[in-house]
Amino acid sequence: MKKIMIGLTLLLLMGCGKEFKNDINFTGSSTLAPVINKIGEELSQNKTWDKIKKDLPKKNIELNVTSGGSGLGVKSLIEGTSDFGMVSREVSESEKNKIKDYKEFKLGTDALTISVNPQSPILSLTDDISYEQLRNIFSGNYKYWDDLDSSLEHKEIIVVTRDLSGGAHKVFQKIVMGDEDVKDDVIQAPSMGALTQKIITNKYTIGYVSFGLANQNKGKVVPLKVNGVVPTKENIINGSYNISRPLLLIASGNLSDTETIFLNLATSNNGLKIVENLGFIPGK
Amino acid sequence: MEKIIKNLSYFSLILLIIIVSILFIYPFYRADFILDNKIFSAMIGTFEIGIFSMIFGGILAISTAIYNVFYCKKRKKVLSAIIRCSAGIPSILLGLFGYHFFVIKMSLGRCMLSSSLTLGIMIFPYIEIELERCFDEVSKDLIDMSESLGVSKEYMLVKLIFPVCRVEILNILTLASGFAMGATAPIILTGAIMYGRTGGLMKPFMALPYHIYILTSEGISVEGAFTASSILLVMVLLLNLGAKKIFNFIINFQKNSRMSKVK
Amino acid sequence: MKFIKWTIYFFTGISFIILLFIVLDTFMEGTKLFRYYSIHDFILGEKWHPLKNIVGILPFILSTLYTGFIAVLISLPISVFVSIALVFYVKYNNKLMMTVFRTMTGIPSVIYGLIGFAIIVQGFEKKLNMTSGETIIGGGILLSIMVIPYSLSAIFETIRKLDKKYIEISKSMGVSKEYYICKLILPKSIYGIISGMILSFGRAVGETMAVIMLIGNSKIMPSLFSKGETLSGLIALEMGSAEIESFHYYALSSAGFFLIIILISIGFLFEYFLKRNQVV
Repeated sequence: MKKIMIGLTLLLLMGCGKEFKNDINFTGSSTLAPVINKIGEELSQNKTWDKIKKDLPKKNIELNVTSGGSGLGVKSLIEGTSDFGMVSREVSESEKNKIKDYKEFKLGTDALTISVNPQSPILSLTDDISYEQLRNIFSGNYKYWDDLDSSLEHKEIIVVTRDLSGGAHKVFQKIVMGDEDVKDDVIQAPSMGALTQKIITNKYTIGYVSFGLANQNKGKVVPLKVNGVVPTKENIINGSYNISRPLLLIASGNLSDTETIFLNLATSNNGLKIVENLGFIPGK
Repeated sequence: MEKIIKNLSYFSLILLIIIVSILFIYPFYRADFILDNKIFSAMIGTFEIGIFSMIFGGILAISTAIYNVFYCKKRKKVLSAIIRCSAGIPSILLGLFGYHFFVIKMSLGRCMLSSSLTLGIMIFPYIEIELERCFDEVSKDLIDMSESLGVSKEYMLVKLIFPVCRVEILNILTLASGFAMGATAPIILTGAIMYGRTGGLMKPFMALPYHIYILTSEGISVEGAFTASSILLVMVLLLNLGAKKIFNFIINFQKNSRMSKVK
Repeated sequence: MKFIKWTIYFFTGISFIILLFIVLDTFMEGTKLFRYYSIHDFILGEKWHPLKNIVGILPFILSTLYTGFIAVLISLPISVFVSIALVFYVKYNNKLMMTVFRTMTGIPSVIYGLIGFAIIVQGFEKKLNMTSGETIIGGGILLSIMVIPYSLSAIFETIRKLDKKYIEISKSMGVSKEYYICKLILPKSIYGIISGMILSFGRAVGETMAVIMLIGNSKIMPSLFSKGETLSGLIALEMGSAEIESFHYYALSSAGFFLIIILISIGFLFEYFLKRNQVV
């Protein structure tokens, strides 16, 4: 009996918050998750917070990253279940209003390439595609590859998109589709990584692979030109390739010491280099 | 006609044996067995989840089962019906409830505690039903005899029921915690994370089933997912098969050492 | 010693309260949608666009039912014939074999999903040359494997008990084994088979994780070789992006509520057939 009481008390004490919160929670975009994780690994090499800033306690540095889509990133801030939200799209006004004391930090830019498998039928014809053709493919007006051009195979065009919680889908809808709806019969990948995998493993697919992931998988996916513009870093920055989206960390309220330290690292040269190494465009 | 039935039966049996072999062997075949920090973190997380959900679900279920069998005159059918219905609730809906109740309303945040409480609720019906079965099997004679001797119910519980059912209770609890360790849907919303270290009770944690799901759905590494699957399979199967034997061994060991002390 | 009694009462009370909470919560959150959205449109609607306030769950109900039916259709004959094999033909090791088969229930559902994804989806794409290996029938096949142990347990027990009861009589009559099986055991075990069927159907309908990984998750009206999305899959995938108290969130809660109603009805059917089986 005594043992049970002691045990329970210990359990409760474990829960009764330490004054200092030594972990930072990130939730949201699956595109940003590897970036944050890598930055976190670099920060964790210091082992404890006091090695970075002397007046902080000697507690382990812990960073917790969860994916779930940009939608979850916004929701986690609204409901207070995370310290930072990782978002790979613009945050709408109504969403900003729901977050107390909204703060936004831009880590870089990502673009949506229109990619196909290296053995895709379309590559025998051209490596360029127009908005018009994209709208027809994604809306279902063109169902087979030979609808696009009669010289191609009569095989179904497998369209791969992100699902509703993906930041990518909202960007694509707004910039490319406009008012037209994407057809129901698409494969909704739960993450950008899964979307890329689908394109890699199936030669009749087409989908909007993120610029970063396309770079990481050079040779396994082939990005097409859109309206004649090649998706390169320069074209994305100068705006001629305009299917792009920002990579943001969003927060609510004032940042704690630990959070500020992380943010400083993320926006420093080392942090920007990590962003760039994963294939994205760093900085503002 | 006769031949058909005989052949179909043998064929189905062989088919099922092949299926089971594939289920148990394929993950090991495709795994790459690269053990990094993440897998270890996930293993610790899964282990802790098993323990804590067993504690929470176990306490509730044992109390309810004892109440239902020994204190309840009419064997309330309402309680039994509710319990059986809650056994059928899909795990994702329990996860939703856990998120809204423990994470948001009780402000526990996404942590091991929220997840273990949710999983405790998930395994509670199973433990309760099996415990009732176990208590029912305790000989009626023993119970009647103790009542006629005038001992209190509580004394009977501690000195009579508990020693007899000890092994069975531990076995049921272990099986249930094996079930909790394999559950994914409830922990997605209540505390599982993709990368991070598994800390204490109030921190979020990594867990093997969630790790498998993430590795597959994010397209990161199917081989890694199979590695995690192999480890999880070993953990859960050991619990399922080995629990009874281990407990019998421990209890017999204690009995033998007690007897030698008496001498 | 008295405090033991009060501890037990306390914790039992807590379990009761928690269960009550869950029931009430699901019911209340699940029906809030219907204040301003008609039930008829919800259940029979074919389009799911929560951001445009159009929510119809017919595609998901159909996907759930299709995969459930396929699962039962495939697993039931297997369970029946394996039971017959174990009771009549392979008498010596059948307890050991049943233990092995029962461990199938211990395998976590993500692992089933992963194996199904690796074997079924990629098998369809490579061997059958399909453009996309995610199909309803693939999901049904995986679910059938997952539910075999449930119906197998129930049917095995039924047939074993019947065999014990009737074996002496039929031996003394001198009929062949197969005649005995066909004309006596099987007809009598029909209720056991039906309850095994209902149990496995309920299990298949409630399964979430395994199906998500190999069914494609398209919100279309499903057909046998198309992609689809089950009710539980819908909730699992979209809960992450629905804010509490939003239209989307209420729609998902109602979908969950509807799923529970389906499961409870199946549960009642099961109880009914269980009672009739015990009369046998």
